[in-house]
Amino acid sequence: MWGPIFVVGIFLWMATGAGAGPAPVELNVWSAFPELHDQVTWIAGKYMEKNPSIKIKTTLFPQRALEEKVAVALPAGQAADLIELDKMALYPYYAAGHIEPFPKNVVDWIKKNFPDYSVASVTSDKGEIFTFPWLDSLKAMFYNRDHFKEAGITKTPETIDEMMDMAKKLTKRDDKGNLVRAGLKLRLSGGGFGTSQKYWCQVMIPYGVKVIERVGGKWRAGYDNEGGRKALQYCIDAIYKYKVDAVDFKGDAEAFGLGIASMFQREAWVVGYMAKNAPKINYGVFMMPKGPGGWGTVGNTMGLSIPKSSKYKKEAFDFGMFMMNDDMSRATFADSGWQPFRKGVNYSDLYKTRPQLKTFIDAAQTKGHIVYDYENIVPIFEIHSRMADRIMAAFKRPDLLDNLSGIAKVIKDAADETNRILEDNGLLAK
Amino acid sequence: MRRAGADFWEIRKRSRAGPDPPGVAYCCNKTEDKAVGGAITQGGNVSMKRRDRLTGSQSGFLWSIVMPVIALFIIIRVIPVLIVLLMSFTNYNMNRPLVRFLPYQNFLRIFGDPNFVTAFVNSTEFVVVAVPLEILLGLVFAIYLSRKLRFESLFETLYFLPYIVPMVPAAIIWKWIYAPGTYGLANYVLDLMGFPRVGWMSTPQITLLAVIGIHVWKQLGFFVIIFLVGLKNIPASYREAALVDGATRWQVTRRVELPLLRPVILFGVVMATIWAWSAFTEVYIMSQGTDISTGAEIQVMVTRIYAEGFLYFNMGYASAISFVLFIVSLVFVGLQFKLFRERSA
Repeated sequence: MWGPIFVVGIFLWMATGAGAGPAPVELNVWSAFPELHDQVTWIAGKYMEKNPSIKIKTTLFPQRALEEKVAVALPAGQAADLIELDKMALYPYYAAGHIEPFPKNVVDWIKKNFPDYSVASVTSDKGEIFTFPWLDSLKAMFYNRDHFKEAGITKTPETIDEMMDMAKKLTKRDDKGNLVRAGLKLRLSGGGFGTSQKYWCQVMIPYGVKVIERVGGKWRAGYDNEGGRKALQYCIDAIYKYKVDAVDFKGDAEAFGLGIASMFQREAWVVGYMAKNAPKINYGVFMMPKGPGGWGTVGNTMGLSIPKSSKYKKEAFDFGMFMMNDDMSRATFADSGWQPFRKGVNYSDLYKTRPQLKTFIDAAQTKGHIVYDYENIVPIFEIHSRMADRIMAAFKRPDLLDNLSGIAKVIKDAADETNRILEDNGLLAK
Repeated sequence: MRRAGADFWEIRKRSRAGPDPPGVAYCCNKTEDKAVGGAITQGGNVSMKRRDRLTGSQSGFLWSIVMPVIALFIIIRVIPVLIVLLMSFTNYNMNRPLVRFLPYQNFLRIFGDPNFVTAFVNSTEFVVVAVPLEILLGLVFAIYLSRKLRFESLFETLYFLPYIVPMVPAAIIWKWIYAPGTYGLANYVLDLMGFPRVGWMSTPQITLLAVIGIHVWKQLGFFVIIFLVGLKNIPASYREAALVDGATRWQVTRRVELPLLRPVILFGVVMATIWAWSAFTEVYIMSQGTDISTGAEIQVMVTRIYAEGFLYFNMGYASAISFVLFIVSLVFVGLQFKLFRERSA
């Protein structure tokens, strides 16, 4: 009788794996962008070749779906070991205690290999780093060289006023008056957050205006002023006075790739998009033009964070550092078009095939050209999204043309809402 | 000769030899026959047959079958509603661990929130436009299909096809149709015909109607089918009797078919109302993307709840909006039941 029981017991013990060696480490990575997901999967393959005991599984979710999934899974301790999201989306989870602050060895590595402003952008008020400053989603202006040549324009604009003058020459309409080519394609619609980001970059920075500004240890809306009003007026004039753009017109990289937009603002990933979808378009890239109030761009950080609930934090940090070494940074920039934050990486070979990418690297290093990132406060996403809703509604109002009081009201209402959100979160400066 | 256009009830009275025999149940009888244990008395008065009492073990058996379903219903439906109601009285935010009780602030904020007002107005417009369209068009097509047509099954399939296509790919295809300039099929055709282009996705009033159009196009097949089934279940003898009496085709439809279809129409109206109030996917898809100029202007109640709860993580406030939607939907449906019952009486 005891014989069969013993044999069964042996089989059961073997099934639990108790007698086997240590279980292989399995890292899960969640990605929000298809091109980054492909890149991470490829990098994971390289890492696993060097570390056979580690298995890495990558999963792609649409960006909004990933944000929702993280909102539910992270507090429940069910999230992946590495989460790829904008730093601004990750910060609230760090503030709520769900994200692992970086250990000293990784912090030292980051400080050695990343620019100071990128390290500052991922450092909390407590002095802790909560995410890898992996990619810099820096904005620059794309322009169609053939359109410029056709219009007799021989240089790229240095100021926003020059840009508007050039846009007027580049714009085309058909015999019915319909816009067929936008001289300057602004971001007038789309996902709220993205629209506010482009608006901030395109017109607020040149007029020296911030969405929120620090006052003492707290914050308040930074655009209810002359600069903020002029920023909105610039866009209203572009649509209704100079008519270089229209709300009912195709936008974004697709319009540029179709050759119906002469200039537009976007990130480095467009270079890969154009190579794949519109290789015949002859285009270049120039840095965001200056304005009377400032010069700069928005370079929000695409981060990579490790949850506190991860069982393999050490391996996750190690994989993160591997993802951002020189070779992997070069490959990421070349294949996905996303610009790594890493400093000191030699991209000269890449510039031979993708010369447009050099402008993005130069933009991050040019003196006087400031790269802005989002502030590390919990409601930053809500602040920008709600401001965008109001700005997008304003874009559709022809009555705001030459209507300074109307524009002032729009800006004031938006700023009041921004301040209300800050107050709800205990962050409003009195 | 019997007069033309006789009311169904008159026809029925004249066609029967005497009072209703016991043991037979009739549908839609004005004297409110009730079938209890399968028995009806003369003149429509109900008398109860002596009920067999259940033994203890039979009763236990029945409860043991029904309880899991009831428990599941309570867990999936009732408890979440109660939790949402509780959350609506708090400032719960998924990013903030501390929770404060707010006895009225969330509800007060709702009525001063322009985003909520916009969403409520849009949702009401959605219901007011979509429900009558779905019911009327559903009835028209169902009545048309109930005639003997060639290729009847093909038409039924064509009407039902949009209903079974998932909403996400359907909305994406409509986005392409409505795309700006001549890149969208709609404006391309208008341009070809010499008409001015329409800002399908840039003018909020037009965009909302365009989204309602997608909703109606998608749901119409469901109503066509249920009305068609209802029409086919009406005994042919009723129509024949009316026709023999000299009723016109329209009179047969109005006086015979529609009254008999009333329970199905009520069901259709209730479902259409609930679906219109809870419209989300088509509005969400149509308000995303850089070609889409209307965002917050075409939001409806559920997209508002989604934005507050899952973009801004203001779960307490989102719960308050959810509860308002729940009450409003309940009131609408209750009014419809009352209206239909009054008309039946």
